[in-house]
Amino acid sequence: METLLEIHKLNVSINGKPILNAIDLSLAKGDVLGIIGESGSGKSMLALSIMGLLPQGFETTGQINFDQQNLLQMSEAQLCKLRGCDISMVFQEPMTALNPVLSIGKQVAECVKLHRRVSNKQALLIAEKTLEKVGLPVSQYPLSRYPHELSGGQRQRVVIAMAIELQPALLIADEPTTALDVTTQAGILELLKQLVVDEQLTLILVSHDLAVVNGIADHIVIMRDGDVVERGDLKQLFKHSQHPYTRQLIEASRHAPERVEATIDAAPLLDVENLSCDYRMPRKNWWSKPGYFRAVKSVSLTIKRGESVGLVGESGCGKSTLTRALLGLMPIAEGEVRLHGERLEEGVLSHAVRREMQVVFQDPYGSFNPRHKVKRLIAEPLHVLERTLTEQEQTTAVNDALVSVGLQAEDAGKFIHEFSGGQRQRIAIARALIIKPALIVLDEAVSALDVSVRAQILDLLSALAASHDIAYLFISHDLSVVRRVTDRVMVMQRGEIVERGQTGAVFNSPTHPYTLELLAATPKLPDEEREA
Amino acid sequence: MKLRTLVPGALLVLIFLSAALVSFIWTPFDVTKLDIPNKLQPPSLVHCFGTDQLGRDIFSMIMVGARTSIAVAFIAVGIGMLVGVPLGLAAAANQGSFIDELIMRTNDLVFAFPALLIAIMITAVFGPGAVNAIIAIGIFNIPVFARLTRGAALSLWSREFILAARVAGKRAARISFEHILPNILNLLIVQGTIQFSLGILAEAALSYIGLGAQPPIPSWGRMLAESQTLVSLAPHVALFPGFAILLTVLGLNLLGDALRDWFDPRLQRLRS
Amino acid sequence: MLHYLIKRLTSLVLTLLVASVVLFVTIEIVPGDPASFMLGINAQAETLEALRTELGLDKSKPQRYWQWLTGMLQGDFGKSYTYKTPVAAMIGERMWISLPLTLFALLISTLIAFPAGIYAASRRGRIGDAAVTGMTQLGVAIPNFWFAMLLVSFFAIKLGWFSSGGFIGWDQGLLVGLKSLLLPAIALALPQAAILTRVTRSSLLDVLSEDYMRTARAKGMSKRSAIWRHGLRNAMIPVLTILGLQFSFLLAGAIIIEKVFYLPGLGLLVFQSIAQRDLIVVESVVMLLVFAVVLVTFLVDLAYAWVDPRLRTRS
Repeated sequence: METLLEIHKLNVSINGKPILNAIDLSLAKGDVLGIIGESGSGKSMLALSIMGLLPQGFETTGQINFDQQNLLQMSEAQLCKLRGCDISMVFQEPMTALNPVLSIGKQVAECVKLHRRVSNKQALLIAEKTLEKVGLPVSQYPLSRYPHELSGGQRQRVVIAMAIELQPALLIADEPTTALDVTTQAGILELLKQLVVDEQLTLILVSHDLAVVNGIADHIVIMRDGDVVERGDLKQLFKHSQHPYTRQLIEASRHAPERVEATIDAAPLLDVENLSCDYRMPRKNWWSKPGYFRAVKSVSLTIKRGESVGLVGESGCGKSTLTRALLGLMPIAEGEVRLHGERLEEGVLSHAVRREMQVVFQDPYGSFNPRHKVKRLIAEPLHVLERTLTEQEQTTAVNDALVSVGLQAEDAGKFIHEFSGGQRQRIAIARALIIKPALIVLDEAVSALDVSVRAQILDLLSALAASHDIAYLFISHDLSVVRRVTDRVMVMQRGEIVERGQTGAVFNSPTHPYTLELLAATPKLPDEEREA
Repeated sequence: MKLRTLVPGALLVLIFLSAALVSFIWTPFDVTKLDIPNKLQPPSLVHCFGTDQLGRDIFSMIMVGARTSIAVAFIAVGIGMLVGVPLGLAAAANQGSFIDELIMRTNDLVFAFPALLIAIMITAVFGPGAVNAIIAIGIFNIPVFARLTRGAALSLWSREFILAARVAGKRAARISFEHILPNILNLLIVQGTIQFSLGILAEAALSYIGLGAQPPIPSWGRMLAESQTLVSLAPHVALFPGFAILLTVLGLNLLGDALRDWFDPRLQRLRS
Repeated sequence: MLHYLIKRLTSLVLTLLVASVVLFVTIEIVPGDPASFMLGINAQAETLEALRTELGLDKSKPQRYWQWLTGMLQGDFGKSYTYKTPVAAMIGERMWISLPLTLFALLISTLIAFPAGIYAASRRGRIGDAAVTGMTQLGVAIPNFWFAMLLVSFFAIKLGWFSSGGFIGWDQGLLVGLKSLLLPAIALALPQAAILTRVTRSSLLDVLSEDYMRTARAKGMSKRSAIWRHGLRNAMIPVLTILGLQFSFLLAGAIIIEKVFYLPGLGLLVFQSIAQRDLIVVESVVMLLVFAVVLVTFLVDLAYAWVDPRLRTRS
C-alpha cells in the first residue's frame, strides 16, 4: 500500500535534553496506528511534532515525510495550509479545547473558511453536515450553541468535526477519550472507528491504555522514555512479545494482586442506612430560596471488617458525594451512618470515629500541603488520638508507617515535591495507616497513576489489608481494576445503587441494564475479550 | 527569569528605608531651621540637592520625608492585612453563608467609592493629618486583601490536602491558620508590596493637596506642592522630591515582581 | 440575559442606597451647625431658627435623609451653605470640565495601552517586550500630579505651546477646549495606560497558553490570526474589569490634576467646599461620583455579558 507518513530518525530535544530519540515510523494510507506509552514516554510530543506544533524552544532533527514532503523543512505558512486540511488533530481535554466565546457553528465553519474560498453560508452548511456526521444533528444541536452548553463527549465530537470536515489524509487523536466517562468513551471510539471506514482516514491514536487501542488499531507502537521499544500487531504482541517492557506493560494492565481471604466478621463495621445528601444550588437571585440537588438518594450499604468493597459509577453519579458524607465532610440530609453500631451525628464526626476511618485521594500532587515535611504530613491524623504522643513516639509511628508502605524512615525529613506520583500515593497510604484505622476509603486512589505504578500500589494495598486487617471502600470509575481487587461491588447511577453483589457474580452475570451498558463500554484487552 | 529585577528593586527599597531610619539620628542639615539668605540654591557640594524657597536642605528634607511616606504606607498596608486577611479567611471557610455574603457585599460597597475621593472626604471631615491619611488609605486596603485572601483560600479549600486535614479531624479555624495561611502567604506578600507602593503614591497625592502630614513635618507631596510655582525658576526643587517618590514606588514594584516570580511554583521547579 | 440584567440593576440600586446612607451618616458626624456657620457668630436666634427651618435642619435625621434622597432623585441637591445657590447648578457647571477630562484620559489610556499590550505579548521575551515592560514600570511608579507639573514646565512654560492652566470654556470651540484639556488628560492617562498595558499583556499571555489556541493552530491558523480571532476576545474579560476600575481612579485623579492646572472642575469645587466647610456640596459631589462609578461598573457588567456567552445563559 502507498506510504502516507514516514518518520526517519526523528530527534526532539529541549535545552539539550532529549525528548525523542531517533524515531522511525511508517504509516500506509488507511492504516490505524496506536501509539502506547506511560507518562513521559514522549508519545504526545511525537504527535505534536508531526503537526509542527511543538512549544517554543524545541529542537528537531531528522525527517517527517508526509506525502513525499518533509514537514520539518516546510515554512510556517506552508504548514498552516497543511494543518486542518491534510493533517488534523484531536486533543485530550475537550472541556477546554473549544473557544468559550464563539458558537460551535462559527468554530467549525472557521476551518472551512481558512482553507477553501467559500462564502459564510456555504461554510456553515459544510459545518452543519459535518456535525451531523459526528452525531450532532442540527435539529438537536443548533449551530448557535456555545461550548459551555455541551457535555464533554459532545464537545469532543465538535473537535472531531473540525478535524475531519475537510477530509484530511491523516488524523491524529491524542488521548481523545482519557478525560471522558466509559460510556462516552465507547461512543467516541465507535465514532472514530466508523470515520476511518467512511472517510478513508488514516488514524494515529495515542493512548496510555492498551485496551483503548485494542479493536481499532491495526498495529501499535510501544514507547518509553522517547524510544520506540517495540512495534507490531496488538494481538501478536500480546501473545509473543519479545521486549521485557512490553511484557511488563501488558502484565501491569491486567495485574490482579494476590489476595488473602480475610477473616470476615459477621458484625458490620460500617453500616449506612437510607443515606441521602443534598447539594445547595447557587441561588437564582439573592431574594429567591436556595435550591437543592439530591446527589445521593437513599443509599444503604454495609462493610465488614477486612472486606474490600467496590463502588463504581461514572462522573456525576454521586459516588464522591457519598464518600464525603461518610467521611463527615458534608452534611447528611436523611438517613443514618453507623460505625461499630454507634450512630454518627450528622456531618460531624467525633475523634473516636475519625480514628477508625481514613481516606486516600486521587491526586498524588494535590493531597499534601507542599510546605510541610513528610513527617508532619504523615503525623497529621495523630491529632485525633486520645492523648498527645511524645516526640519519640511520633517519630516511631511515622517511621513504622513509612516502612510499612515500602519507603524509608529517612524519607520523613524530605518535602513532598521530592517524590514521584507513586511514592506520594504510598505516603498518602502511610498517612491513612498511622492511626491504625479499621476502614480506609480509597477515592479513585490509583486512577491518576501509570499502569505499572498502579500495579505496585494495588499489591501494596492488598498486602496491607492482610497484615493490618483493614477494610477498603474502593471507589473508582475503572471497572477492570475494581473487578480485580474487591470482594463485593456496588454500581451507582444518578445517586442510587442500582446493582450490588459478589464482584464475580455482578461482572459475570449483570442484571441491571446500566451495569450491562458499563461493562459493554469498558475497553478490553485481547485476552479479556475471549473471556467475555 | 524576571528575578533580575530583585537586586535593583531591593536596592532602591533599602536605600529609602535606610534614609528614613538614619534621618532619626542624623541629617546633613536641620530641616526645621530656615535659612532665607541661602534659598533656592542649585545643587552644590554643601547642599547636594540644593535648597528650597526657605533655604532648607532638600536632601535632608527628602530623608525625613521618606519617614512619613514609608510609615503612612506601611501602617496602611498593616491595617489592610490585619483586618482583610482574617475576614477573607472567615469568608472562605464559610463559603456561601451569611458571613461570606456580608463580607463580600461590604467589599463591593467600598470598591464603589473612588478611593482617593473618600480619602479626601475623610480628611476633610476629620481634619487633615498623617493619622487620618493612614486610616483613609488603610480602609481601602481592607477589601483588597479580603478579596485576594478569599479567592486564594477558596481554591485551597477544595484541594485534597485540606480534605485530608478535615478527615484528620481538624477544625476550620485551625485549618485556616495551619494549612491555608502559609500557602497564601506568598500572594499576600506580593500584594503587600503593591499596596505599599500604591500607599506611597496616595500619601504623596494627599500631602500634595494639603491633606496629608501637616507642617512642620516634611513630606514629599507637600514639597512638590510648594515647589509648583517655582518650577521654571528652580527646577531642582520640584525634581528631587518627585524622583524620590518615583524611585521608591519603582523599587517596590520591581521587588514585588521579583517576589511574584520567586514564589511562582512553575518557576520554582525550574530553579531546583 | 434579562435575568442577568435585572440582577445587575438590583445590585446597582442597592449599592447606591447603601452608599448614600454611609455618606449621610459620615457627614452627620461632623460637629457644628451649618446654619450658625452660614450666618456667623453674631446671628440672632430668630434668623437662625428661620434658616434652620428653611434648610430643613429642624427635622429628624431619617426625615432629612429621605428629603435629601428624594431631592437628589428630582435633581435637587439642596442649597450651598456658603453661596446659598442650588448645588445642582454649581455641579452642573463644573461637570463640563471634569467629565470630558476623565473620558478624554480614558480614551488616551486605551489608545496607548491596547496596541502596546498586544505588541508586547506577541513579542514575548524579546527586546520589544522588554522595552514596553520597562516603560510600564516607570509609568506605574510616576505620581501623576508630578508628571503634570513637568508637562506644564516643559510644554507650557518653556515651549509655550499650551497655556499653563485655567480653562477657556467650550464656547470657544471644541478644539480649543480639547486643547486646554490635552496636557491634563495626558498627565492623568499615562500612569493608567501603564497599568492597562500590563494587564492587556499578561491577560493575552494567559490566553495564549489555553487549549483552544492550540486547537486554532491545529486548524491551520497562523499564530497572528489565532491571536486576533480567538485570543483577543477572551483576553478582553480581565481587561474590562480593570478598565471599569480605571474610570474610578481617573475620576478621583482628575480632582488632583485639576489643582495642578487650575481647572475649575469638580475637584476645585470640592477643595473650596472643604475649605469653607460647605459639606452639602462635598456630599453631593461624592454621591454623584459614586453614582458615576457604579454606573460604569454596570456598563462593564453588560460588556462582560456581550463578550462572554457563559454569563448570558447562566440562570
